[in-house]
Amino acid sequence: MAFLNIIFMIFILWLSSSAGRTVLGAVRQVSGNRLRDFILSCGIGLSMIILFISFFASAGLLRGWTGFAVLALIAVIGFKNLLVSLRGFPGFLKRIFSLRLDITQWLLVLILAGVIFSALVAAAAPPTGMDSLVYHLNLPKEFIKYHGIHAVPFDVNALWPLNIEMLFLFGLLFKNAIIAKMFNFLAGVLCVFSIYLISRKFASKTASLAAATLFYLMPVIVSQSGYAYVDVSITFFCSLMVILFLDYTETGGKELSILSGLFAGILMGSKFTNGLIVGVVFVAFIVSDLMKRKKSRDIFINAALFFFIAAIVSCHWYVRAYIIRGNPLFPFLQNVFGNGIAREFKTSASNAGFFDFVLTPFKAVFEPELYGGTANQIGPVPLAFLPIIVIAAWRGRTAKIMLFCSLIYYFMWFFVKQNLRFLLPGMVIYCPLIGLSLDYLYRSGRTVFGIFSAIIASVIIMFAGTAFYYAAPAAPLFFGNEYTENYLLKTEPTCGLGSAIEKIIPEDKTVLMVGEIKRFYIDRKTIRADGFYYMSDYCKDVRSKEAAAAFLKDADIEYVVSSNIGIPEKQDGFSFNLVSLMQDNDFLSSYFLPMGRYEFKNGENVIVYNIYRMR
Amino acid sequence: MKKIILERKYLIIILLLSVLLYLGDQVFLKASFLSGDYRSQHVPWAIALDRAAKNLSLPLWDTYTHSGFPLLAEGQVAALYPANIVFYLVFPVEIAYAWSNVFHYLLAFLFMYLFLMNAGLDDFSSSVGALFFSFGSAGGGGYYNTVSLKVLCWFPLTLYLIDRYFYRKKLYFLLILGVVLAQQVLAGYFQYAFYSVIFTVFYYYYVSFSHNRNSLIKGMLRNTALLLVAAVTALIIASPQIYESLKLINLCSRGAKDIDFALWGSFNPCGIATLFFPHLGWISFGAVFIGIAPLSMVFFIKKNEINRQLKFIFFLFACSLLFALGRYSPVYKFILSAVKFYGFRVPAKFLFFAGFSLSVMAAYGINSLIKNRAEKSFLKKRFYIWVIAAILVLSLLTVADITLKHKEFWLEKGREYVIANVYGKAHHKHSLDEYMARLEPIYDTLKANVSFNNIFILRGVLFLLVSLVLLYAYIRFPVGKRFFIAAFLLISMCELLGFNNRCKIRTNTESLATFKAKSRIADFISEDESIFRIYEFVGQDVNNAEEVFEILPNRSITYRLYDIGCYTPLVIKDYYDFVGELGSVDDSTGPRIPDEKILRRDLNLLRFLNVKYILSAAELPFLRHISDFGKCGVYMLDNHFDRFFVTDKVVFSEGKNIREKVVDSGRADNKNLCVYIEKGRERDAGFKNMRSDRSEIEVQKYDSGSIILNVVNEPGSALLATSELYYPGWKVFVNGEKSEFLRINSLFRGVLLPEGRSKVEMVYRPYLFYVFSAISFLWYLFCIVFCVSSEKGIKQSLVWFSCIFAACVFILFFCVFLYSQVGDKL
Repeated sequence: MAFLNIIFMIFILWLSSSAGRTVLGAVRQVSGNRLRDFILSCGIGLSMIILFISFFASAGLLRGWTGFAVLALIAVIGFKNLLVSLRGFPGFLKRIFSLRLDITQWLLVLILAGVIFSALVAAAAPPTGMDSLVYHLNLPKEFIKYHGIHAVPFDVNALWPLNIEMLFLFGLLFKNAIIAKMFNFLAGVLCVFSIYLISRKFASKTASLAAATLFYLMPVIVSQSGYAYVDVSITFFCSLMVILFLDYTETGGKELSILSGLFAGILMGSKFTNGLIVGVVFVAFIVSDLMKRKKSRDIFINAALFFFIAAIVSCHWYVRAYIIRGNPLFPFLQNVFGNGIAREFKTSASNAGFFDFVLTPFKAVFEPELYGGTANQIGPVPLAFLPIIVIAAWRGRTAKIMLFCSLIYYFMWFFVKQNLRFLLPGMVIYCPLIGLSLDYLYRSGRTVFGIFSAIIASVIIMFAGTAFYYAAPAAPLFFGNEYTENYLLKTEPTCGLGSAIEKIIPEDKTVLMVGEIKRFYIDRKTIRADGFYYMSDYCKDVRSKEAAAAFLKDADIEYVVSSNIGIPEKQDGFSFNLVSLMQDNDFLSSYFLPMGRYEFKNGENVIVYNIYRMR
Repeated sequence: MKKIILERKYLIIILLLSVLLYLGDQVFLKASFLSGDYRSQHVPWAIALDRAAKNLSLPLWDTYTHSGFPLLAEGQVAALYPANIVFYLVFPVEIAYAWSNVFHYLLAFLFMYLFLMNAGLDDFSSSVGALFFSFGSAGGGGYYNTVSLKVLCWFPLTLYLIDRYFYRKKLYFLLILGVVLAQQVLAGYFQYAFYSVIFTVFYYYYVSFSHNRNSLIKGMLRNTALLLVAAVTALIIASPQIYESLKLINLCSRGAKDIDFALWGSFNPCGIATLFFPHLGWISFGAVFIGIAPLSMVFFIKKNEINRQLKFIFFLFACSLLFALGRYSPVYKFILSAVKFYGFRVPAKFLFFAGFSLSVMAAYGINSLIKNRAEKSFLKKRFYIWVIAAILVLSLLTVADITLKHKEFWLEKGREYVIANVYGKAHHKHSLDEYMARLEPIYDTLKANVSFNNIFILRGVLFLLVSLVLLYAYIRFPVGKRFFIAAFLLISMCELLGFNNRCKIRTNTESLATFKAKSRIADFISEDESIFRIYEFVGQDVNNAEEVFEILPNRSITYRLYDIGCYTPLVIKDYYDFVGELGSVDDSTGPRIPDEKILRRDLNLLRFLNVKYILSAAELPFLRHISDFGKCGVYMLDNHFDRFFVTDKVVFSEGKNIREKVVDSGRADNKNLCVYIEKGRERDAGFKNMRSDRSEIEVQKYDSGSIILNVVNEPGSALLATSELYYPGWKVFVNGEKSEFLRINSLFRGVLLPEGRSKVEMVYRPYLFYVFSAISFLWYLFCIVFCVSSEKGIKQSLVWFSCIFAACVFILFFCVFLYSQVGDKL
């Protein structure tokens, strides 16, 4: 089964790259660099899938045939290139086998291939993971169920821009969640090529390969490649935007800013925080033109084009949120738009001082749990290379621009949301500079280069080992030695909960989910407690247990499922939040009937789910 | 490579042999310095440092002793000393503790070797010189304890750097000198660091003087300006430690002592016998010993080989002996009276420098002996001097053995001495009977130690004879140089092995397993999960209190138990007085010994200090007995106050006799307690509407240096009182707004709270410390860049800096990763 999924994924990639190449040709951006053309074609093809799916979903046309229709559409667009690529395939293989690599390059390629394979093993397993099952996959599932993008009541995440989720939705249209999550894996692999390509602009082949390897081996990339998360995909589109920007700094041209704007639009339509990197690149467009001493009209026209295209591609998500909640950035910027959740979404740096700012790079490396958890860590490489990158980048104009852009991005990241995942777009600009610094070191002397090589080798061995270690549980499933059900029972308890709930709760009933309950495997209409708490009038109106019970009844919530994990910290000043109520035995016994209790072992933890029905 | 090894073969051989012979137990983690003061001071501090290091923080504040104590400011913790930081970051605590000592012995050895090689001595002489320095009485700096080791192992390097600077005239040698001096300050023993700095500066001027004889004033002025580079570097790098320590020293009880305090621990002139018989060190408060065979080498220094450096060494030897004599030295007494600084006691600590000088002299001597073998007349002359010295020693020993047979005569002399010099004098706390009772045992021990029947005396005599035979054979017969070197090395190493097995620092070793030894008392008390403190009632009749009580201060840190006591020279004076006769707080001059009457009287004070459990070897019928563990009983103090409590009973007082007022305050519960606040604060608006009918405190976080409390108080404003020490650097935020601490009961923290729900956040945030730390760190970087760029150019130095930075980041990351994965198993 895993093998079939991989074949299907390659098929989709083939179609989308062909369609993308057609567009690339149309804007006269096909260059002699095959790798560049391939990467950009893939990016454009995947963007086309996103846009087509968004269109069908917005039009309420999500049916069984929609997936095939999209495939057919991109096949038609890329038909000519499909045939060309088929004809050129033997030549491609010949080129691959005649690649001349030295021993270091072979080692790097082999390690990279090994780690990518281990990530593939994890990616080819059924979906698991908190955010992935709570909304990245669950929202597309809901949209398919209702044949289009619609307002999901009391769900904050459903109002966010969801471009990458459209890729997942495309996979789910074929009733295959693994395909959906494999898009993220695919983006990770394509990222390696992108980083290599960017690094090659100012570094040797070996140094660029090392930079790409170090980038892919960052724990956050390897671990996220195995889940249906959006950050790796975002990083990929970001890298495409940067490639085009760098091309623009060399040759100029409206086509480059338009294409770059397309990817910027995909980014802005995927996550609010991507506005930061798009903003940085927008400023970089202007700075680059200023440094070329262009006329003032020319300076702004390309930057404006970039921004305009980006806005067009992404605006529908913001318009939708504005229509539903009166705030395009719901739940943020409550002060500006008057509708949002201020207290829940404070920025991490709201109490930070100068020392926090200076120490954050160190703390982020050594205490990643403070910045989004150990799985999201970026590892020691970016910090370890910082001084030498600064020294090396001081020489070249483009490198200097990239260094400044990454530092500005870090600055904005610090003040917006200190989560290491959100640093990834900045890493796209920063990591290629590792290649530059390695070349610089090579020229500086054998001893320093030797020490750095030893460091790099140790990092690579350590993280490659870790990648293999974490992919190991999915290996039996990948090689057909384990049933999918067994794997899911071991790794994802809510899979079992889904079938239990379906037996107890009728199909038309709405269920309130309290605590960490991943909804993807539950086939019922669900409401997340935190969303309900903030997006209804609950916290304004409810001041007693009686009022709470009445409120839930009015909201037509008959069933509640509560879990003992993922309980958020008690909110100050609210005595009647849902979480504390669902742990109050008096309240439960007065207003609810227990319908079932399920316990699952997840490692050393026992996860308990209780199902209640209102009396 | 092969050439380098061959040129340094004696260094490699002697270093390896030394490590195996003298440090084997520590290298292979069998034992380390863990008993005595190590157990109650250094080990708990090491544990506190380790906990902080593993959390990538600094042990700025300790909550487990002293009702809160600025731990980093107690220099001996050496939390900012880079070697400590690296060891405790990388290794588990017991390994870090043991290996950091080994590391510093090695440093001492290598620095001494470097210093002697630079003086023109050969490989063998330099290596044995380093051996005598590292494992003779100087102990590489570990003359006093492991903290002194960490400070003084750098001393030879400072002299070496001065030599190098005047030889090459490169400024970066002075920068490195500054960094090294800073290391001495950061390593934690201020007294030794001070002595070392004084002698270093003296050496600098001495060498400067000999280099600028033609233009003396101009040269001296120029060199003074250049010395400022080193001084400023040292000050900047050590500034965070100096800032924190000075803050504490200004408040501590050891500041205002008299000359008697400063002269306590003087080196008895009879101690000169320790040159041959180091086991007599107990009589003289210290020893100067490098071995008898090595000592004989001092006599072989040729007159025309006495260079500038050696002259300084002679001076250092004489000076250090003169200072070590303390009360027996008019010069030292005069200097003390002139400068009126009495903060440093135990003048015998100067003996380290005597040991160092003697090692250098011995190295010079052996170098001369080997080099001038052909000059038979010179060698014979020196040999005869050594024979005379040996005869003199043996004669004196015989005289001492005979005269000590007259017991009554010596006891009478002893009584006269006690009455004239001991009893009733400052810092002598015991009764006359007690002192008299000690005289006879002292006489017996003395007699046993000086008699020819004593094994150590016999051993000393044996080595004296062996050294004579070896020298005679070397001078008289055609004994090969290598044979002589091997025989000399064998004899010296055997002598030092005997010395190391007996000397104070080495006998304080224990198995490393004791690091994680459990305490039944601590386990029992730890079952109570509330926040409370303990107090150990160590009465006069308790012998071996450490074993009876198991968790005496500061061992409470080890078991994470809060203790009102503390054992450090830097106890805060006000707190020392507040706890008063209850004892427990020991400023290293010996704790006060309470009796039951005092304990019964001061129970309210213990209640206020949040003491819930009292440990006592004596029966305490007025307290609730809970359990017994061997000789130690555990008692519960009922009606103790919470660590944090809300009150509206505030009395504004002049701040006098607060202790007595607290002791006299009767109580039924927290609400009836009055807390005293300094007069003049009553005009604050918050005090006008004080009422606390209902209050509730939830301790959200209670950590070293950070406390978060959720407090509800109705229906008026109220005072949040604590038994946490008031100390500059603590900040308080009430509901996110910066507020001000009130000083309650003269030395604890209190905060005025508004009506209703308040979130109180107390943090120890000494801003200036952070500023100094940042400047210090940047200065380190500057020094590295400057030094490398002086040799290799600025660009290359930046690359090197990047390289070191990257290596550090990765190694640290690897360690953190390793701990996160297998930390528990380790």
